[in-house]
Amino acid sequence: MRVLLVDDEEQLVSTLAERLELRGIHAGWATGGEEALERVKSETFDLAVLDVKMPKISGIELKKRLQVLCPAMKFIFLTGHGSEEDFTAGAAEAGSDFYLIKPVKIEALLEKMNEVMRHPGKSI
Amino acid sequence: MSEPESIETCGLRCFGAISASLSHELKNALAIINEHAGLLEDMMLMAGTGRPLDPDRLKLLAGNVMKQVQRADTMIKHMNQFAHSVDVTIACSDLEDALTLAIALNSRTAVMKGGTLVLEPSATPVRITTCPFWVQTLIWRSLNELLERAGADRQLHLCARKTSDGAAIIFSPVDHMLTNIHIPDVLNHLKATQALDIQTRELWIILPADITMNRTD
Repeated sequence: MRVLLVDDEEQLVSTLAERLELRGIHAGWATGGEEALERVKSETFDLAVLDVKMPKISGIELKKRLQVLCPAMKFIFLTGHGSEEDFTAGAAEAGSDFYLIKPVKIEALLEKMNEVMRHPGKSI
Repeated sequence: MSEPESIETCGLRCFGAISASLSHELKNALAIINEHAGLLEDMMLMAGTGRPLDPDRLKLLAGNVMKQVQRADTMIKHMNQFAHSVDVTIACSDLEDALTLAIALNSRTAVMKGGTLVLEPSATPVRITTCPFWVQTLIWRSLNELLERAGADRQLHLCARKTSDGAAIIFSPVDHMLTNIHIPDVLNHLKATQALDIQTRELWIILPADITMNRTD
């Protein structure tokens, strides 16, 4: 599995990527939407884990733009808020099953990643 | 144009928006600490299987955790300072201190809108007697409107300045199409007025030196 992590907190995505690599998952990371869009031009990812609230390009908007470039890509949303507004937006985009609230346990993230890859039809 | 919101609604929205923004930042700090703790645990598990630990790496990870703890502590101090702004209705305080706090409280919102906030130090202390919470509400509301119009990658400068009969909060550069910030109730409550200088692209919010003087309410 190849996963792209996108969050404007660099220490968060770089450390999470390292932990996923230790578990045999190829993980790339980007700290913003523009960087992520650039990265998918030269690398292939099966799945993207996106922060909902990011500067310039939100996670919701980024998903739409990534889907154009990578139609087969699956998505999981991460958020720090856990607010009703974020849940509604994230769940509408990825399904309520694929929406996680920070801080997230890596086991929970791995479970969601495996689930979204096993049941691609559940993710838009 | 929609009706200006009531002062009560504006105050509550300010309190809610700032609390939500700070809690989001706190969550990010906690998430980073969480991942670092997880990575340390992973490294310990690997050490148990014979993979040597790298002391420099451990030192770096510990340093990162400490930075995030300091970041979270600073955010909580700002949150606490803001929460206590409702303790007194009126207080004598330094307007530049209020701007410093406002920038700390609103910086993430500014970044999310593609802008940054910069404090321009004032030449002399600017002390006024006013309502601390409503000054924060006024700045929050003004920043929201100005940042919406500022566009991406724009710096918005804030400055406190003494005037002949009070003080002013100056925002610059503001959009040349700006006419007014639509917060008449908050301005009235603070006995404040606003003035726009098209030439310098500065928006002045002018506050009395002492709000209790000739106060009617």
